[in-house]
Amino acid sequence: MQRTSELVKAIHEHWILTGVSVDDADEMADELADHLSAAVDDGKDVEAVVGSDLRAFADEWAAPVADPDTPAEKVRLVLMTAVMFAAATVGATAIFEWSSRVTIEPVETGLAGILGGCIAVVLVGPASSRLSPSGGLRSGVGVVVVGGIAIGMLLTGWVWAAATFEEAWTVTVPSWLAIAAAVITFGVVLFPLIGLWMRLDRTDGWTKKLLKVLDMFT
Amino acid sequence: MSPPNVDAARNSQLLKGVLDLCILALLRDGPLYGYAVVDALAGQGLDLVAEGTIYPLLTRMEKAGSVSSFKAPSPEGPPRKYYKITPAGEAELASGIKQWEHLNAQVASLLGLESSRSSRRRTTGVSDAAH
Repeated sequence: MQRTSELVKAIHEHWILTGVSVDDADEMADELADHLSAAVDDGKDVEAVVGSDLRAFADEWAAPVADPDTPAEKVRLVLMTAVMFAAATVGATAIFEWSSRVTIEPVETGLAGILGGCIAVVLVGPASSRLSPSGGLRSGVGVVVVGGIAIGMLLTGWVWAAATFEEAWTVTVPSWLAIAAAVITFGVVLFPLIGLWMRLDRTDGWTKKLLKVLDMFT
Repeated sequence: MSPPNVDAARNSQLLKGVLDLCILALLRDGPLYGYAVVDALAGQGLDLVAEGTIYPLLTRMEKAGSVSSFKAPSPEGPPRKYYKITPAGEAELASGIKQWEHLNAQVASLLGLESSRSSRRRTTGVSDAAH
């Protein structure tokens, strides 16, 4: 039973990440769960239902209802990610400099926006899910790229601060580490959330959308 | 004699081509949910390689308008999705049966399974050649 529910969850997640609306994915997952439960009760193996290639099975079922992102939607996703990256960087800087005042450094904020856009471009291609190893690999590469650039920024900031004696390294290093952590967290957690949000039924209200998102992750 | 996997693959391909007609024929007797469709097919000796493959087909048939669906309470959990044949599906089934009969006759003839028809043709051929 544990295996079937995990399997249904993984396929449901794959459907959403490959452009199936949340409502359709929910309905298909309920149908699959019902079928698997009846099949297991009848003494059948899970493979008798889904075959040996889970991803092919999930993709075949999704094909008639999937609505992959259009170029315009991809651009919107990249822009949204860039803006959120910039906002996260500004917020993280304020928090880790122990200041209640939010200061927007144009260069730093712009750079963070560009970084956000880059990671979105990397991630917006193939879907990343447990059924899609190549998509997962691309996501991993995206996270490593952003993390690497953030660490590069950290070292640059540290060297610059040390060279100009603007800040003590005890302030600069934790600040940049925190920003790097925020950026990586964003890549891992928030990006799929934004993608999911965009695939929710546009006629749903904010409360219904929020409940669906919470349901996906609980 | 062909190896079992070759037989199974051919069987699967043959069934794939007419699976929609088989499902429409089953739904003609009343609405069914997914597992019940598979069960009914198995009852007729038509085993699917992977049972779940009927769902993409049912989804396509629903999109095409040959079946429609509705939810009904299930004793074992959340409401079940039932499929029923539509008037367009009835028409598709009727036309599909004619196609099947035509194809079946041609293939049977080619394979020498229809003794009366094929022997008549052979006899005619011999007779024509003799004259």
